[in-house]
Amino acid sequence: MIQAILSSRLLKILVVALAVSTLPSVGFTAEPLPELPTSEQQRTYDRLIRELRCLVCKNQNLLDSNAELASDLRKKTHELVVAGKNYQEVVEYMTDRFGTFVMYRPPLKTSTYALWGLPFLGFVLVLTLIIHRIRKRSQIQLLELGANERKAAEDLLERRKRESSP
Amino acid sequence: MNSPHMRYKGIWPFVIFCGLAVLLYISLEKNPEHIPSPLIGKPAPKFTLPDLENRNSLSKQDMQGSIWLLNVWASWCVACVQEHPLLNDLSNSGVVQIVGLNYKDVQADAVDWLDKHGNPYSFIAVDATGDVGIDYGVYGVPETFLIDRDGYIQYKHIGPLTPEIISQQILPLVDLLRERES
Repeated sequence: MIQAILSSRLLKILVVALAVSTLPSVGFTAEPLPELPTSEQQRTYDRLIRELRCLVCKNQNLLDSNAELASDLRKKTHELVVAGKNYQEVVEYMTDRFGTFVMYRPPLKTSTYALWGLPFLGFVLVLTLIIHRIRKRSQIQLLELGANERKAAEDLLERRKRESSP
Repeated sequence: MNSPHMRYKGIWPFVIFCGLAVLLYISLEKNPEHIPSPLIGKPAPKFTLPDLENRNSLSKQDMQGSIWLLNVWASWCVACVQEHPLLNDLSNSGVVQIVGLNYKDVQADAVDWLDKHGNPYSFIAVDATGDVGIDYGVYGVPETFLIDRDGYIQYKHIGPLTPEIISQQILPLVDLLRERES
């Protein structure tokens, strides 16, 4: 009984821990940068620091990371946006220097076709496999028994019935 | 019932397993720290920076006509200590000029560090803000660039240099660039 309660409590904790761990991390900035002149620039900047990767911490974007390089790149992004650069221009500035790895979402290009294509390919493959199976199964059900086969089956069932009830 | 189609059905999990095994084996050899630089084959970004002793300033144009290494280092960089003897040797051999890019450092610390570990650099450009570092796509110190006579980046190494990198990558490339000129 106690064990059951314990394990259910443990389960609850685990579920909550799991749920929390999948929540998007809350962004913070080490030193707040001055607000941008226009709300459109602010939106561009906010979008950029979510889309650009902190190169030294791999799975963090510039917004989430407090690494020094991330802070420098945030400053640079801020500077470029203030200078009137749009989203695409800042992305080009960064990829010219750090490569496409600086983008959190890899762009679609020759070297990433496999990366983008394989999940779809796998999905289509599994889907056709499932359809194939279902078709085959329904074909089996449609098989009609011949008159002799039906007779043989009925005889068998009859015999079985007689044997089990003495 | 046992059509040839059916007989080979059982082989698929094995084929998939083999495919995955090969894929994982290849990934094992790959270094996730190695990010190919988009700068290779492109003109090295321009800069004009003060010297560590604050006497002169160096710009990229000053290096036009010579093959040189740009070594990004800092006194706070632990791995720099590791590669430094190699840079000293390379500098003594006189094969190639080495320019230091003192990245986001404190001047006094940088001077002390060089006193202690030796100075292989013909010039040390001070990038206190790290802006030039960003232009060169620097994200892990030390980094080393090989730049040709026309100012194009020919090679980039991220992390500390090793004797192998120098003898198998950098020196052959320097030879090749020399030959191409003459």
